Amino acid sequence: MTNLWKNLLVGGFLIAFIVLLGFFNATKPRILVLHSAGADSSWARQVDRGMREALDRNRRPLSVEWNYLGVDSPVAANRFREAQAQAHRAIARFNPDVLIAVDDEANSLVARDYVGRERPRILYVSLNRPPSDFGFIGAPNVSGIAEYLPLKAVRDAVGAMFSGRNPRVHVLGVDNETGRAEMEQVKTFSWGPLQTGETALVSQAVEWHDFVKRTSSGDVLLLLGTKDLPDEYGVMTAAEINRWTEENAPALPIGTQVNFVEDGGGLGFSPPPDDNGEKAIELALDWLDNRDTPGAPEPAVSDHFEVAIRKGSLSKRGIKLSPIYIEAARENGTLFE
Amino acid sequence: MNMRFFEVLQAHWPVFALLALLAGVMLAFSLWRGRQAGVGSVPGQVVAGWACVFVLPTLVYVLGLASGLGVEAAIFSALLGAAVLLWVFGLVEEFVPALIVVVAALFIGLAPSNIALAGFSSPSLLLLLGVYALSAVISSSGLSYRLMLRLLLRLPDKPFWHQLTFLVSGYVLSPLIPSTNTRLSLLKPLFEDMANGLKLPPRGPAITALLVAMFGGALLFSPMMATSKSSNIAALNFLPAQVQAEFAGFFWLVAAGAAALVVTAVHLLVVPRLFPTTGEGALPRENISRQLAGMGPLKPSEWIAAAGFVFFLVGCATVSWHHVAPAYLAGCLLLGLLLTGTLLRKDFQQRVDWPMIFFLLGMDCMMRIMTHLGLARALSDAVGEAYGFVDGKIGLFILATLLTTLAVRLILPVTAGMLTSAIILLPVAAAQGIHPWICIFCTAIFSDISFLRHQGTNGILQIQSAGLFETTDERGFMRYNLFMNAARVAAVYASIPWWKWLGLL
Repeated sequence: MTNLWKNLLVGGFLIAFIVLLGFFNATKPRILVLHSAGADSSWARQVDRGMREALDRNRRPLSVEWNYLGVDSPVAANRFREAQAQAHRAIARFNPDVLIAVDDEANSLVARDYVGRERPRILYVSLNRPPSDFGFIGAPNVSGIAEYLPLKAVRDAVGAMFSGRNPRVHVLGVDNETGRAEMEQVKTFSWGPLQTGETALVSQAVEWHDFVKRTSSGDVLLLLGTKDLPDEYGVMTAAEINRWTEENAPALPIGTQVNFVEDGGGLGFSPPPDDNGEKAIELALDWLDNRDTPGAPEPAVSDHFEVAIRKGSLSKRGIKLSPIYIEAARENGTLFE
Repeated sequence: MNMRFFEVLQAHWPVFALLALLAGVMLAFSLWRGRQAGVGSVPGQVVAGWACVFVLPTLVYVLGLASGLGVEAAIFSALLGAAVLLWVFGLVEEFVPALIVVVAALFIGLAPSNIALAGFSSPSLLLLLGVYALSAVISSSGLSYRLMLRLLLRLPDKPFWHQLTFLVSGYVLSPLIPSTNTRLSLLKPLFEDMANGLKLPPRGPAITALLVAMFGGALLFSPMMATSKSSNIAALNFLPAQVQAEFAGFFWLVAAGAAALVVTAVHLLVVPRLFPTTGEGALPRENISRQLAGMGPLKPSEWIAAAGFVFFLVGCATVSWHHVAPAYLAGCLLLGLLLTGTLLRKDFQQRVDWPMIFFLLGMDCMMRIMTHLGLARALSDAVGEAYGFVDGKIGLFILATLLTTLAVRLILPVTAGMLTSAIILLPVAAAQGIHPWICIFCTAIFSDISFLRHQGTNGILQIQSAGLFETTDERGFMRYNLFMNAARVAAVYASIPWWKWLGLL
């Protein structure tokens, strides 16, 4: 074999290798996950964990990229424009087949701009506001999972814990897109026979403290998502706020976000992030695979929840929970001593 | 704190006793050997350096424990202290301290191997290998030299165009030769040929203008692309995954575009004023043509190097179409060079800059161990207070970056200086809502600033050791360097509107 032939074969192999692999890469499906929260948020990490579990089961080659807006906290208010621009650049660069937008901010700031387009297909996850608010209804490229806070579970549990009494339920949250949507759900929920108390959405740690201290023992303080809040020393982190609230609230605090009890709270009923993440990937894979169920998957509503309990905190307040909650938390790995 | 310090000191007396014993034995041995004939004395700086390496890290450890750090964090702080001292005193090769830290962390179980060695399993390994391999082939094949000769023949025979040839050649080499010193080595033979051919008077403005053009070409573009400076490639790993994906390709150049234009414009404006050139002789075109003819037609290795260069640049520019990360393109490039036999086993062993690769990936590993131990967070809290004055304002952040990088560069060379500054400043950028790439870019461009002779690891020391200052106006060169130092600061401030327009601010 002459050198020319050898060089031709090597060159041909190289070109074929690069062109074929490049072409395959260019045409394989792409999913971009867009979180409203930052990469270090407990919620986002657990949604991602569910997504990765679903991806581990998938055998079809695809590219998945994650992008974190990190705009769910009032501390990040100055980052809105930058985060939005970065997300749009990521979509332009990655050109995803499916955009999974997690929580209201990602849908409001970014995903809604792509409604009615051929690409990308939009899959909303953990949407607390009605999808119609975003113009998603009837759009052929949109589907997803709306989320209801587990308010019924909270009402039932409070009824059982305070049997014979109908305590007032105060509601406190952070003033952001998700917080406002969750507050809307709380206000339209039928709380009877419990009484509804004060409600507030705040953007400063001091406002949070004032509200918490105003509640009285014997009441319930329902906490919507906690976020980092500005305080006089800089920033009070969500974990510090959760811990402080559990230690200082006269009323019984009940969290509706996954990290409340992990941070030191006593009781939490929250939408299950892992489950949401897992379902989002399953829906995306189903949408990308036209063999069995062609077309967009049906929009769904998730009212699943998980229970988290810190036994020490509850017994300090003299609260007794039905064993079914304890066992559910134990099974979920969210039972703390 | 004082009481606690002495308590910890007392509790660790065996450690200090052992160190004192070791120091005593070494001192006695060196004195004994010193008396023997034919044994040279050790420089005082080396003795002082090693003395510091023995004493200061142990004090860092004790201070760490006394200030409430855990044992693991205190030990790692001491290891970091030792590494910095080894760099500062230049006691060992640049890449060794990072390896010492990684091996020590593994040895005593400070971090599991999947974290302590994570830098070596990151895509940056392929990027560094591919880029260094191509860089080796471009220089060894003679392609870069041939291109510069051709450029000289094509362009008008005027001083401005001669200087521009050097500037452009340096810029063109930058994306795939991530070392200023290597770029200078490639440009130097042509500089000497031209200076001789044009019969430029020694120490005159014409030859100095040519020298600064070569220096500017090799250095000015180094912060402008991810692959044009080895520490940029390593710093890319410090960024969040989504930012890495965005800036690994051409977007880095786009974001640095305004700064690149400003420094280039200042260079072009400053050089004719500092070094007015008139009456320069004619270019020895016949000599150049003879040299080109002597080189013969393009060799296969030059063709492959050129194809690899184009492949990588086009690949980086079209990532949004093929979605292959630049690191994997560099992997293909490496395969291409190996499969075609352009890079042989011997070249792979000798021409790839393995110490630099180990140094950069070792720094990445150190950063990951710091994060694993919670030291990155502690550092973030500690520096967060010191940099509170920034208050989210980009102008003040740039000033803070400038001062920090200049302070670090007083003791560390360019690569280690830039990476150390980035490690200190990235948490500040995160806390202040400043885009992390801006932080990396500022440390990259400011680390090229130099005032003192020992800071000349940005290429000035190489020019000096090559003896080029003997035939040029060194003071004029240093004046040019001062102008460009200021130009770098101006370029960063001038980029603010551009970054706002791009949505980075």
